[in-house]
Amino acid sequence: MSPLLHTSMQHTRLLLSMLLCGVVFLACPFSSFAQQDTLHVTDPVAQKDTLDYYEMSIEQLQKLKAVGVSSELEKLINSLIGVASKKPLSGRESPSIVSLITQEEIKNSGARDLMDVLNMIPGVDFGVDVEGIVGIGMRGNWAHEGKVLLLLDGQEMNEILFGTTQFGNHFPVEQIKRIEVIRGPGSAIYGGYAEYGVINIITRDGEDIDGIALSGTYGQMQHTYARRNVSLSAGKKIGALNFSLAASMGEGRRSEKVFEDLYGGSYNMAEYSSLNPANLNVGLSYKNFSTRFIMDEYAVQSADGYDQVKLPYWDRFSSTFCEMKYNFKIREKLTITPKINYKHQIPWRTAGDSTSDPYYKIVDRYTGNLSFSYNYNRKLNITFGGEVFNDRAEDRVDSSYYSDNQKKVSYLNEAVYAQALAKFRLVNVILGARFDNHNVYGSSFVPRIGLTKKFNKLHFKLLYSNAFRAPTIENINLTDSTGMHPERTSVAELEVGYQLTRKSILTLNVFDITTKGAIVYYVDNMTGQDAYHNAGSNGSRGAELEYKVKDHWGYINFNYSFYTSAGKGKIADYEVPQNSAMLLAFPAHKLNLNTSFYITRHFTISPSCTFQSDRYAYTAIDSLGNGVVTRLPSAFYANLFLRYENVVKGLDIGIGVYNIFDEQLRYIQPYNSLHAPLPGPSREFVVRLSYALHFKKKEAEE
Amino acid sequence: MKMSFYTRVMICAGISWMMSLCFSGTLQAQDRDYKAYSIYVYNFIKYIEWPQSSKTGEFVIAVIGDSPITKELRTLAASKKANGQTIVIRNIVSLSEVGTAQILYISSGKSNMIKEALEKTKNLPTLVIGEREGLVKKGAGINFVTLDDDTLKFELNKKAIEEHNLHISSTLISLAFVDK
Repeated sequence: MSPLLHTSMQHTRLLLSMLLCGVVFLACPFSSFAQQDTLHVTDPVAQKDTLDYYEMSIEQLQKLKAVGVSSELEKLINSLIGVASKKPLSGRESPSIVSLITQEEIKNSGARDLMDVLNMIPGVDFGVDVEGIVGIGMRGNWAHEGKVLLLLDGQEMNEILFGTTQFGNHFPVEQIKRIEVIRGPGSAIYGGYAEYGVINIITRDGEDIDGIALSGTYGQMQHTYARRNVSLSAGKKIGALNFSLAASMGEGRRSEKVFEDLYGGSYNMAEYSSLNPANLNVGLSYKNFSTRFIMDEYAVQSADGYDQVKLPYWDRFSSTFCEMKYNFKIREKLTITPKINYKHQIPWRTAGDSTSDPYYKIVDRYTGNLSFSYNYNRKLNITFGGEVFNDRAEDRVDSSYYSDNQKKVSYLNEAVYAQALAKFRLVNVILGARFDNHNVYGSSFVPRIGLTKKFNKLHFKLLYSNAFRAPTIENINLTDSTGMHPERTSVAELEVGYQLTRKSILTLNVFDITTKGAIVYYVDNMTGQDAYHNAGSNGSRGAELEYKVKDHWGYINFNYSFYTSAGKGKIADYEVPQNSAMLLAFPAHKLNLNTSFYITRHFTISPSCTFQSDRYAYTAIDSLGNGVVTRLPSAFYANLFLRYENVVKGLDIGIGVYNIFDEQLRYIQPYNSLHAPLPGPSREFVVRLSYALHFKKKEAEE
Repeated sequence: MKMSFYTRVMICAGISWMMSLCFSGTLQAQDRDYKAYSIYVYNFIKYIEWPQSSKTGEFVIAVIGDSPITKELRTLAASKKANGQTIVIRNIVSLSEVGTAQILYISSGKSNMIKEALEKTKNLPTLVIGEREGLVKKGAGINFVTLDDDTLKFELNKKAIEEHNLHISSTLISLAFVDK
């Protein structure tokens, strides 16, 4: 008997998810029929005023499309994506397995924070680290510490001490224009934090905002608020000058449930699980020059400690980013881009109390980058460059030191990279590589090759990449006597996509990930101290299926992801003793359904749901003090968001409910450190008000 | 013998790719908007000058192969003239039927006939247009190109066109990807 059918409740969940999936596929022929009616209306010059198509101007001629007017779906799937290659390519030819999430999808879904947005993507999941911090997993693998790079307008959000990015009411979704996600390796371009994936968030620039925008979100769980956030944006494009300013701040709660550790301790998260963000993002560009300044503050309150409940305390993460770059167009074919970045961070800052030590370390990264892009012709682009960064960290706690009794440490990393993109009639070939050399842990060389091609309705990708995870400052500091080396990964991926109609597309990919020398955290039994070491090999393989329909009535996005760790190396800390095909915390099967229906021109209804199969977690301790892994049942989360645009001019109102059935949401620790599953938000009612005041356009008035 | 995972991936990739290639020919015909192609053909007529000997009588566009462009070119011929000449569209099955056509349009499925087409039109004032990308490298005067964002463009082989005693305006050259 299937484990999914063990209880009637699980049976109900499964039936619900199957029912919703059925709706998707019923919608498939419906969309095909709809397509028949409009297929002929594909005149490339339908927008031309005169009926004499042949006498069009040179400017109009240059904009002619080979496939007529693109459907909404075609615009989406053929839009250029820059995250996977130095030179933007359409999503279907981009040399990575990529997901694109648009502002429209974010707005309609009512996504409360970045976690809600990323949850829409196949293969992405979340788990708890320590001290109430929730991190990301990718394709079954725990990726929290320096394995998934998060870029916000090009700035690396990962903190430098451990490489983590913290999720939960963090990063303002109201300001996002689009998110491009590589669900695979990105080290050949981005270096040592992009081993398993890259999340590239692009916010609205001055031209997009074109005025002032205000937004407020309130979320209420049964006993306490879930969030109360405000956001303000202002921006304008005047000639070649493009300026934007966005600020946001708020307060939130991880959960209102009671957290119970494995030792009998507990605390009420309705009182002590605050998630308080603040973000300031300023961008300015003038002709070929651009600059960016970001300040990000995130404070997390918890009482779960590393494993045992303790007195409530705060972890604070402060980051400041500055960037300046200039695109020198030396010739029509050659662009040289010098770029300098400064990053200042104080992550994981805690005051300490009677049961724990304070943590207060300041770290700065100074980066210089020079890249060359040469378009030899329309079919061959060569990009190469170099990057140097210097990390400087200082321990500000009197009694605390880095290894060798140093208060300060400084590291230097030098890198060179190159990529060639050649387009042939039958295939695009992408060859790339990056070589990094760190003054402590040595060098990493990560080549990649990609073959992609779009043949009208079909597209095809065959990718093989090496990637690495750079040991972070604390990895080096807490290394054991075996030393510390970069973690190395190789990933093979194959994707085939078929555009079923002008409004629907089906995409399937398979992947195989092998990581060697994984950097793993453990507690040294002899000293009782935290430590890191290069453990054995691990990985996963699996498949992801995506189906998208997009039309004038709305859209349906369905995806299914599967992973197995069978046949891969095992690392004891990640292992599930009773199931060798699974890893701790992450479900082998996950289904997402995100839909939006335009009931009227201004009114949308957006139901969405997620099904997760069984997961495994440490939930008890045996008489010998060893953790006991148990199976947590499958879960089904359903959400509904209603949005009305322009209630009065510029004012949008959205109301919705997340986790409608009040399913118990738990973030599981993906490694063996005996932290019990951390409760997430229960049923949450959300209200969002947004107001946009656009500057008047003189031309429009005239 | 048990195949390794990578061997299996490579086999799947190979099969998928071959399927893509097999399907690509038929799919191309379904999705192209040949109105856009015909608009370009009309502009080629506008911006290319044929010798005096070709300026009398009918302006013949011969299309080799079964292509939806024929229908669109007939729509063009019904409403426009080529510098005063009546445009006539001939759908031909053999290159021996080209005669003194001012334009020979080689549809995608007949791209392998480029060599024979060039022999048949050698020294004749005939513009050879290929539907498939890359034919200018093989001696065609013009071929179409679809960019990443589906914008329709064309490649132009100036030398090959001039060998047919045709004169190209600088306006047309400025629009083209020129093969030197």
